[in-house]
Amino acid sequence: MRRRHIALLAAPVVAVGLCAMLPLMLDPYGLGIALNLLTWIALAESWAMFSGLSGYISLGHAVFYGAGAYVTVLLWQVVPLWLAIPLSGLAAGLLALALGWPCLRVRGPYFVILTLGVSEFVKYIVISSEAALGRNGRLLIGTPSLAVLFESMLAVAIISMIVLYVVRSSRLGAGLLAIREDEVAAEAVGVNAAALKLVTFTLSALIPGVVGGLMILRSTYFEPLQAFNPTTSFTIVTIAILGGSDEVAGPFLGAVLLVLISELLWVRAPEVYMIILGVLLIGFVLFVPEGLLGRAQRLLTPAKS
Amino acid sequence: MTLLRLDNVGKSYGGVVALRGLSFAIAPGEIVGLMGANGAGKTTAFSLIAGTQRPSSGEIWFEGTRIDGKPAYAAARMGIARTFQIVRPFGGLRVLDNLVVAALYGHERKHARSVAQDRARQILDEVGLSRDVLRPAATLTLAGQKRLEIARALATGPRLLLLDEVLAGLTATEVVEALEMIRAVHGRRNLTLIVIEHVMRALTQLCGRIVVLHHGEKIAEGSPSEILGDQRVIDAYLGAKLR
Repeated sequence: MRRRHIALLAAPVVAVGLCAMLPLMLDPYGLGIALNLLTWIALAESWAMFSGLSGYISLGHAVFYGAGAYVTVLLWQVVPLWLAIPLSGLAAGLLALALGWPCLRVRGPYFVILTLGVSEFVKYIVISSEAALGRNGRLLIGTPSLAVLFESMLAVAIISMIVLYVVRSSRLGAGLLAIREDEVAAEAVGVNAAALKLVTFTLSALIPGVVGGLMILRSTYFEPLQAFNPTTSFTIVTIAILGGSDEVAGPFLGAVLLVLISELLWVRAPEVYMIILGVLLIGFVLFVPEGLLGRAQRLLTPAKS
Repeated sequence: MTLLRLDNVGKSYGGVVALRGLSFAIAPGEIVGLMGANGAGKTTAFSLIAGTQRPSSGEIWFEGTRIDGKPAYAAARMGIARTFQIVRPFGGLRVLDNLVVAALYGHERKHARSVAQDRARQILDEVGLSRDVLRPAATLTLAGQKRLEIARALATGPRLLLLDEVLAGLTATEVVEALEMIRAVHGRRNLTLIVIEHVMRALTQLCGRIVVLHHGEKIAEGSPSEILGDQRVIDAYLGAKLR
């Protein structure tokens, strides 16, 4: 029993250690893929913290990602990066607080559509204001190296996983799961649904803000249509469907699968890449609705006699 | 001493009056029955007391505090718990976790999960669900889910428990068992109950006092024997003399 505990603790530490050494082992192309993977893990885990636990499917992550990128760009060479990146996360959180206030009053498909609409709305505000300022894209020169960005993203991805784990097993997590199952019944046992949803929605926006800030340093070029691209949200939902479950391992597996498939297809079949991805997604919804983790758990649980 | 007092409470939906000028008071420890035909306003009265809905007029007082207009979660935290006529379990969660949330957020507000779990197991024992602790709530039978409704409400640690037709849909044996369980639960705590029930025998056995509603108005209030003999009740609800 004790030996098992040590193994359980040691495994992640060794894994993180190995990951941290990847910049020494991989070429820039390989490291780029690894960074991409960490990005999606960080985003999907933070998304699951709100949407996975509460059942409110948000398409708002793209706007928090974009806001983080925008703030980092605005603060570029104004404040040091170690301050700009956390501030980007904070700004995304504040934006979530402001957007969540009206959006969280509706449920189900209305909430999904509203988050998408509001995200697009914010995107076009940024586009217009950039146009009004006469800025046609912003270039960042002298951004940190790929290795530095990789190590930072590794830290963010780990934090994102830990936060999901902690929230899920906390009092807050219990309340969110109750809201997901039945909001009226949850309120009847004392859960202040409105407050819990708003707090969690805000918390879950911090990570995409930071991720957006880091990734704009990678691309070195800010263009609102790109930074606020709603595909970010759609990809996160795809990862959630592939991985299944609201546990930490779900979004992780989903991200690994998606990045793996994307890379394979991207190289070998660039023309039909999106089509195959779409078919795969439909296949998962139809035949593996519980996702990879859900299916694995079902197969591993011995049937009760 | 009064635990709960309704003062001239009314509720209307647009032009439809669901409840008109309802007043009654309940002392701590009482079991009061709420009786009436379908649509008489029983569940509406529950929803107003539990904060699920807001009254159109009148006042509701609980332990000296005015509570009408307060949201449902606030009522739960003050010590008012309810069951739902059509069961609303947290279906995807384990039976145990259904109660743990209630213990964490309800009137007693346990802060540690381990304490909440101990309390939950104890209550599941009490209502006869100890064998189903780790099952998903959705897989329980109807009788099981009705028990879970009561158990989850109890896990909030209420002072006042509103039971909305917890016996409906149960077999005769299950009704007898459930009645015993409710009586035991009441006896073990400093608990006050308001019971909505269509099973007349259950109401008369359980309740010290019965309030009768008809078309949203109170038409009678008294001991079970007084109610069964009341001409207005017989005309409005029972249709014929019971004894």
